[in-house]
Amino acid sequence: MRLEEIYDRYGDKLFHYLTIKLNSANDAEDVLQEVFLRFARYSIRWRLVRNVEAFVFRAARNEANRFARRNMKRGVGPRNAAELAATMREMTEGPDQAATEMLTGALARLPEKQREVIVLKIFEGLTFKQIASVCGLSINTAASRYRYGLAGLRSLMEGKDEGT
Amino acid sequence: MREPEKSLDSLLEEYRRKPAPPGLKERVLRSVEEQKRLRTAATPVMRKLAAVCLALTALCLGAELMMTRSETRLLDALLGPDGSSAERQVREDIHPEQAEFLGLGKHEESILSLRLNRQKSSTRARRIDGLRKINIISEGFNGS
Repeated sequence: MRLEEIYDRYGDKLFHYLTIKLNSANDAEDVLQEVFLRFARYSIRWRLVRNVEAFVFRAARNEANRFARRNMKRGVGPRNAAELAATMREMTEGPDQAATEMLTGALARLPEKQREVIVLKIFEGLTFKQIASVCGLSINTAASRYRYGLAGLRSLMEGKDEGT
Repeated sequence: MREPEKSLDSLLEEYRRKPAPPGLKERVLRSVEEQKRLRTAATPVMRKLAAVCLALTALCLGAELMMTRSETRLLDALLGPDGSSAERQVREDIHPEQAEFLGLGKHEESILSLRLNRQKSSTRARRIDGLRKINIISEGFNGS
């Protein structure tokens, strides 16, 4: 499998996921380049990879974590919920503007672990098995994070400031 | 799954991610190609560097060997073929048993034992001389 083919299949999804994870489209682009560079450098035998989608998402997640760690060392902290909501709004299209704003605002206020599972499930279309593989969790933990995330999301969208 | 969760699920399904900005794919793949090209350019340089290091190491080892040889030749010329005088002295003083213990050859051992015997006979001759002198002196006393 060539890199271009990998990009055609998963590139946009990875960029979307990384943008939400890192809360910046520019950082996401840098990390995406690094991810593909790693793929090229290690000349991975794609035929031997059992679940390519989970593999590429896991590689992207690891690279994003490395990037975030480097940023923290340099004193660049994570951005706040309002900035994340704005980033997510730019990356998401919904039935109407108001609903999208409400959803992205609520998603931004969720705990990161739950938000990550919801984004992977809803926007990137991964299964719980794949999410478990990407995040290094058991399938049950991934499913329960999703459930808790949805419950928190509902509370936030209904105006209860629980946040879980 | 409960009813409200289901409705939220179906609501969430209406949301889609926006397409990535145009030109992202080209930018990503181009940068990967550039990095790959840089790496492939760096590899021959590293190979040349390794070859130069190897050649320098071989040169140093060769020079060291030559210097050692010339020094040994010089020392041989200064001290003679049997080695230093100190070494010669040790060889002469050594006892045959010790020689055997130290693993010297039979030939050297026999030479050493001959030398020892010669020393013993000369000591014995000196003793006999002494006794003779004592005898003469005592005869002189007795005669007077």
